[in-house]
Amino acid sequence: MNCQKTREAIDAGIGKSVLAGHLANCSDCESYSNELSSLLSLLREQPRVEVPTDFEFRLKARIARAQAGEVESAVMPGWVSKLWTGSFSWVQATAATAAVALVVSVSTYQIYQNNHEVPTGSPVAVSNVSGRAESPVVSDEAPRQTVPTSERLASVRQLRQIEPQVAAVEETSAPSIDPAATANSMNIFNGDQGRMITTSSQMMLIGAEGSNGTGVSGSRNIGYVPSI
Amino acid sequence: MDDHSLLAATREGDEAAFQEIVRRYRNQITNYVYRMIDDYDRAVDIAQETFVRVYMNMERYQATYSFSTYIYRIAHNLAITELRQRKRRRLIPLPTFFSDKDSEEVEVDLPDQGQVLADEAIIADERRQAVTTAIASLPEKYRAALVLCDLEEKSYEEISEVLGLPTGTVKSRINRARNLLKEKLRDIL
Ligand SMILES: [Zn+2]
Repeated sequence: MNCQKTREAIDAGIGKSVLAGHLANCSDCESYSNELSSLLSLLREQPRVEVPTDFEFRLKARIARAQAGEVESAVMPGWVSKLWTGSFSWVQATAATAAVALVVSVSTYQIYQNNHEVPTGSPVAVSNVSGRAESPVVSDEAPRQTVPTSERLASVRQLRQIEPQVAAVEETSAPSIDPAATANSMNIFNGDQGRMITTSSQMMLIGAEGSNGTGVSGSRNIGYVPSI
Repeated sequence: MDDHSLLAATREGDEAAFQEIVRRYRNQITNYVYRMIDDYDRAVDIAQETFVRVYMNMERYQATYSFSTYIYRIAHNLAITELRQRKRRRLIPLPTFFSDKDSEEVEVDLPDQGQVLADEAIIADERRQAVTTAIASLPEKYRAALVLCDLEEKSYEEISEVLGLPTGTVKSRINRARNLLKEKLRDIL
């Protein structure tokens, strides 16, 4: 057997015993064979990645969305449909919703605590915040704490605008927010701007999605959660 | 129960059967896509999309190929789409120290023999990382053939069905990929 045929046989995984006669007398082919064996061992040693523990949970939701998407896309408003059929994780959605609720409730609670703080500055209503810088508010504020502290209260004192509902309860001068802007929208505290903003729930969910704060997808533990 | 029986059961509404399909293939598919795109989170996402497509097209699936070939084929096409989208977005991560165009950068820096403090585990980890990087730096057509053959341990016939190529082309791509890896990894072979 010549060198070319021998190397073709080596490439095809023919065992060394079959080629022993040639390899014993040809150091080039022998080193070719050894090098390939080493490479294949290295490749076999490569660690294999595994799916995260929430793989089936997310898959189940995704299949449900795919099934519903075919029906729902004609019925839903554009942004709902986009969220519904997009690659949006329901784990993230749940976390984002919880985070929004937390921000609103903590802010509201703190504003109650400071019931004689008079808002200063001009009220500003942001009725259409699509794509603006307000979106990181959820990831920026939500995880900090669940109980107000003096530090957090101090930041609330700097608010230049508060929720109209809270303002009405406190009998302070209510900021003039366009009622149209508050329909299907929420007021939340923006840490960057140091004021309340009005935003749609869509905006907050997208902002939260960008934050990817749940970290669930990074887990590589093997495990099985729910049934498909 | 074989794959086709599980698929038949799934079509009859047996959710546990589809669950078993997912269990059988979830790690294989994720690993294959991960090796193709070198991004774990996206690989998981694409693996999920693969199963969604299998499920949504259950009625149309015909057992022309083995189910394994069928699902790898879907995953492969999704991975290629991802790579093309990345190219368009110019977001392809640069290999850290390998480059196809510059053989000078092929060397892998390992601790000296005399460095007794070097932990074997660290060296092993560096070797694995070097291999990972070398695989990721292969041109995608060679990478796909090599990963399916030498990491996923598929037969030439199955690889040819997954990639839609003649067996001869598959073999030559595998050899080309191995030769490129040998060059890149010369210092640790
Ligand atoms: Zn020879």
